[in-house]
Amino acid sequence: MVKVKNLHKKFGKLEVLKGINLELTKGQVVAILGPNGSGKTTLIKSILGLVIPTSGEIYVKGESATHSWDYRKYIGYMPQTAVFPENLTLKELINMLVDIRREGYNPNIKESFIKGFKLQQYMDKKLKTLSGGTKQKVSALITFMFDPELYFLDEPTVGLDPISSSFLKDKIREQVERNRLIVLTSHIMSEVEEIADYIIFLLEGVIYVQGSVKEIIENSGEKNLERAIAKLMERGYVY
Amino acid sequence: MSIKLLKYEFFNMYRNKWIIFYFIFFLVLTTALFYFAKSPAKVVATLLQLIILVIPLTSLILGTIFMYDSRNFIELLLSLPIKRSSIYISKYLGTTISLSISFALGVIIPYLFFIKSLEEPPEYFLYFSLVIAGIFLTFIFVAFAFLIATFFEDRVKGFGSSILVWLYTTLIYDGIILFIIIYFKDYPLEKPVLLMSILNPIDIARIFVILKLDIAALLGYTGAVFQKFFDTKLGISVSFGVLFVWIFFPLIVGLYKFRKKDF
Repeated sequence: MVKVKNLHKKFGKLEVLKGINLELTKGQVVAILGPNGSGKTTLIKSILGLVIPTSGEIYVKGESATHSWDYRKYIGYMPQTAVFPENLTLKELINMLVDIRREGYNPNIKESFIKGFKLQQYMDKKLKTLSGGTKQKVSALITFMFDPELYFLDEPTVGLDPISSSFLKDKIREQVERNRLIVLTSHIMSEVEEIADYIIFLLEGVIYVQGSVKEIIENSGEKNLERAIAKLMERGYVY
Repeated sequence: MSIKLLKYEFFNMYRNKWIIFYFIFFLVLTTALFYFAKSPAKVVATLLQLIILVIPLTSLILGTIFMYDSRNFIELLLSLPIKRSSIYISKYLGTTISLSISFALGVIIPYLFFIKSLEEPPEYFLYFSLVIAGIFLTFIFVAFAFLIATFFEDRVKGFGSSILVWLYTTLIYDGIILFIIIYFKDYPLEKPVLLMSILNPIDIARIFVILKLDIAALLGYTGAVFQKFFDTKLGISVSFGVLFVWIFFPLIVGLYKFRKKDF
């Protein structure tokens, strides 16, 4: 589904990604973990084409992502901080995106998210008046309603209340059963342990460790994922 | 895809109070000028002096503001299956066309209103070339504003550079021309000055209008030289061509930069 070959990215003198190689197959939740500044967001944005890689190759569903844009029709992206045109109301934003993107739009998914997140009352409100958590819900809604085959969720549950957070996690698990690929980042290890199948641990721009959740916990000798990852990070900091 | 994006750009622009304010500014200004001057030729002469200052400044400032403000929207669009260049071009056309319509309506409505009651000749062609010159200036300076806003991540640097471009084209350039004329007054200067006028889009826009005004000599040395060297038809085509170059140069550099930019 997604294949990355020897990906490098420099921002000026700062080398953020130093040769990433990975291959992700569908039907799983992949969590990209790592300390702040390890290149998680840059990796996701490179695959999306928001960041132009310095060198390396990216393939999405066999199509090369370099100098291309059409492959993004397979992708739904939920950024770290939700960004919208401020002057629109929620209803206008949804209608506009449906009009621009159209492909894959599924009104049933839209309705289930509006209901699950209780967004009905905000439909005619300007987006700039919404709270951070509500914006995050809107961001999830506009990502999921196009029913993409590939999801990139950058810290999806940050700012959500427990009810909404559980709802979103259920929806994420549901996509796995429908044979979609979900790639997410998070700093909440209990959440990763709950929903992720596979973990990629980034450290200073390289993949330090990868494996299934179970493998990572067992190899570390710790009792849960949080401690296992903390141990990895500590080792990484010394290293 | 671009057409749809353009539709939403217009939709967004006309919710913007700046565009309305811009329209009202030209409406009030032109009405006042017609009320006092009562002659289209005189109104054009005065309006021209104001337009070549006001349009570059507002196009630069508003263009930079719009580009920085729509960063969120651009980021959202970039994650959709849309070509980068369509995003930039539709944003550019949305801004320039909206500003041009506001300007053109603002100066044409009072003209149509007063033209019947005035005894002076209506000067359709002259007035029309004033509007065209204003629209050219809008397209040129919004292209510069977009280039600047794409180049500088930092808003303060962006606005600073916009002001610098405006100062160069309106003040510094005239100062340089004046300096050259005085310093080299013993030499034949027509050709060098002619060439130098190409280095400033505002001067070209000014020449484009005053070639039809028959008082070219009153409106700057370069204008007088331009009229002397070219018969009016050739002058028009040359100034037209140079104005197009001034649109495409910043637009293409900005587009190139935008396609390589990290978000």
